[in-house]
Amino acid sequence: MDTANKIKFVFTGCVGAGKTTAIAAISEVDPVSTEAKPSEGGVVRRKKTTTVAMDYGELTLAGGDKLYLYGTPGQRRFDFMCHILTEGALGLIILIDNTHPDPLAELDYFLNLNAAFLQKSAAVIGISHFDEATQPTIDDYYQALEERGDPWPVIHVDARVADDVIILLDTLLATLEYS
Amino acid sequence: MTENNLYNGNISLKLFGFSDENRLKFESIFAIAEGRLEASWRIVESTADFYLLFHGLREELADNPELQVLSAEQCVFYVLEGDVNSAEHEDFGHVLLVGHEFLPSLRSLLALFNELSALMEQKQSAVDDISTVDVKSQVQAFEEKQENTSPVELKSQIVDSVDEPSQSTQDTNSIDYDYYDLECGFIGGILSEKTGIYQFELEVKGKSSKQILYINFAETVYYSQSQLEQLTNFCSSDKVLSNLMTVVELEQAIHLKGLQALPLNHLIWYGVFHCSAGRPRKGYKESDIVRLKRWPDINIPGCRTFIKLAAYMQSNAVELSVAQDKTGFSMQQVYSFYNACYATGLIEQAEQVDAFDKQLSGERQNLFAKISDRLAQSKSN
Repeated sequence: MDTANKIKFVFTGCVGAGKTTAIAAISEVDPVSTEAKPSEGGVVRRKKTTTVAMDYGELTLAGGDKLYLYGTPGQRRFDFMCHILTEGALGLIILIDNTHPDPLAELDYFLNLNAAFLQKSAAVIGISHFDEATQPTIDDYYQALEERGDPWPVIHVDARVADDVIILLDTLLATLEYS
Repeated sequence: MTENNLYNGNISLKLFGFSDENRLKFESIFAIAEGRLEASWRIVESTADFYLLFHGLREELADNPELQVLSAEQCVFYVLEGDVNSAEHEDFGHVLLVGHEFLPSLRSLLALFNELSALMEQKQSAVDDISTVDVKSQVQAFEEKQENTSPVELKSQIVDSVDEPSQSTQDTNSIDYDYYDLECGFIGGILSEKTGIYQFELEVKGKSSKQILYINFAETVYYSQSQLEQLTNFCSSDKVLSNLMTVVELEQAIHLKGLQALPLNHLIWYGVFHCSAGRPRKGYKESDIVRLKRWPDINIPGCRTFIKLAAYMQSNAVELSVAQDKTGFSMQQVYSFYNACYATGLIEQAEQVDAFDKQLSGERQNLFAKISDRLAQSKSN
């Protein structure tokens, strides 16, 4: 599948952060998801199935163009998919599960993984499961970003709620437009 | 008041019937309260202005010769919070509520001791009035004032005196329509406080209930059963009552009401945004070059509207008029947003303009506009 020349946003982030759910919340077509039983230890404990290749959804723009929404697999061994999917993408949505044992380390990991892409494009950070764990706080995430010298906005979201996902994309657009 | 303890700004207090342990407990809470007391109090062992009687001593008053001589208004009784019966305690002396293990309630202590000092002051001024008033000169001064005052001014003075708020939380922002003064009113109060735990109370118009807000300044969190949008009442009212609390009292309130800690910055951002009403903050100059150090929390109600302004101000150090011009917001919106971000420490002042004038191709601009429109459609659906 040629994904490089499409108008697209890519959702990435840790397992269980809600990438598949976020795409399903706003996609106008039934999202395509490649779910399988997880094999990595940490993932087995957290989810029954997980994305192994990618998630896919779309929105039709005025004039008939399509905006494609891709989700990367969360398991580390599929990290190579990140580089394939982000090629030619407009921007990156990094979703972090706040109930993860070390969410700040996860953020660090995904920023490093996509460092080359973020040299020339933009990201927005979505913090999910914030209702279940309020630590680290949004301030803590900003602190971590400040230490890295990254300017990306951080928003806590419910990946099941379309408006929350849209606000992530709106923010990403504003960042692309003005930053 | 005893004759040998004439009020001179110092009020004396004698403890009665206290064990060493309970004396220590009282003195500890008293020490915490001291900074908030309106008069200077000292604990004495001799004759005093007021007598603090330990729990249970009320029943012994008639039998104890030392206590028999005390007047009702000199007596303060320890009463367990669960035992309060207003009808019972109104007839004799004042009441200091104490909680579990006879630990005095800080709020009750502050309210009571400030009430007692006000009482002392009133009595003293009544005495002073009788002894020092020069009736003749006062009548003369009044007559002169009447002659020199126009009817309009007189009316204005009367209205001022009626409307003048008695609380220190007076919102002077309503006076200056050109600027929003961040140092005044409720917001000014909470911006200047760095430690302590407070309960703020506000009577709701037309209802018998009160809005309650707890702020733990050291933890930079607030607690309330009211939504953030409703809490702007505190920012615009001059009738906010504040009481210092202990950690234990706050924990009890949290437990009883099932409250959750919320970031104090949300309350400040939202309060300042609304109170600004499109005015720049006092002290702001049009030539100020500013930059947003980081994004405000987009989840604060109303903040989502300003995503573009936030994105621009984070990437550029410019005058606010430039930010307004580039993003298309009104100057009033820009001022309110800027003030809220300034109050929450998100603004930094720059020495010189550092504008990153991003040039998007027409094709890219068109694409972004189409995506934005499509997302807006999804939102409304």
